[in-house]
Amino acid sequence: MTTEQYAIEGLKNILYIDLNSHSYHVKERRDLYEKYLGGVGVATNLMLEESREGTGPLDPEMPIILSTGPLSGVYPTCTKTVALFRSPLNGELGESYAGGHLAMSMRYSGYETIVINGASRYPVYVAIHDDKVTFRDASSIWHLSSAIDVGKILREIEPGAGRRSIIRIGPAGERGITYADVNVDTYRHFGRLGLGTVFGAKKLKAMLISGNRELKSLSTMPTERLSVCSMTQL
Amino acid sequence: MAKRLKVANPARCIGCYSCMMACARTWYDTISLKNSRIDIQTRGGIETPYSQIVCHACIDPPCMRHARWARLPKGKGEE
Repeated sequence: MTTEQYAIEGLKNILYIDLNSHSYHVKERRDLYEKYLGGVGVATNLMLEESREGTGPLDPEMPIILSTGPLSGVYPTCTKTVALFRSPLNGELGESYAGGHLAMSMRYSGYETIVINGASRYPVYVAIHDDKVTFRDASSIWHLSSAIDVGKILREIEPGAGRRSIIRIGPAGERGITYADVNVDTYRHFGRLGLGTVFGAKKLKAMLISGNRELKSLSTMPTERLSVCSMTQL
Repeated sequence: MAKRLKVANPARCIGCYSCMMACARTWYDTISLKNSRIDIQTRGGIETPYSQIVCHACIDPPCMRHARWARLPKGKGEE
């Protein structure tokens, strides 16, 4: 059953970011979203596709996958984003969740899942505004003593107030502390299993996501009307 | 009598965006933040209170003079 049959416009896009060449491409993967609802199901399958055996947690080839579910940005309180990676702490599959605006921003930017591959030669931050993805030099904010200051600086120089989400790492992630976390919107975190270190190894200081897209509401869908409430009871 | 949008109790706003969603759903039949006449903004994460921006229905709106700030369209009865 596709997510469209759940009366919410379907999830379909996956954004692949390549930090080696500072490039990106978008792929429509309805096959994955038809089989799984989104979130950890899609992320796990992408992890199986992207990662190769024998790759270390901090190697450039090891991907980071961020994914959201069908209710993110649509139903209040559904705000979790899952991050899948290989943990530098124990070498196992790392699965970490964070709240904040991130899931909503990802949904409205049109990329329900983001796959980050490769490693940059110098510190960068990635700014995603709808269909525009830019890679900007982050050398000047790389050694700041606090991740809060990074957020303050990015808030001033990037647009999209109120709809954007800024995720960034602090000094622990830069220095490779194996349990470093990633700060989401100042007060939420990808806290488990050292995602911050994986960001640091990829020289990815921060990611800013903002979107302005709209989804069709229930009454405009041609399929049978199904309320969001009844969906939660399924 | 022209209707004017008013924020009843700004101090109780927790930034859930439910009002923006409801507005876009009721008037534009979409799930979005962009189609809302109410604009909830943050000023530095959740450290500071959320600010609610609605049209004040000015007679000569200064925001309409500047394209960059003309984010909220002038509404019916506000002309």
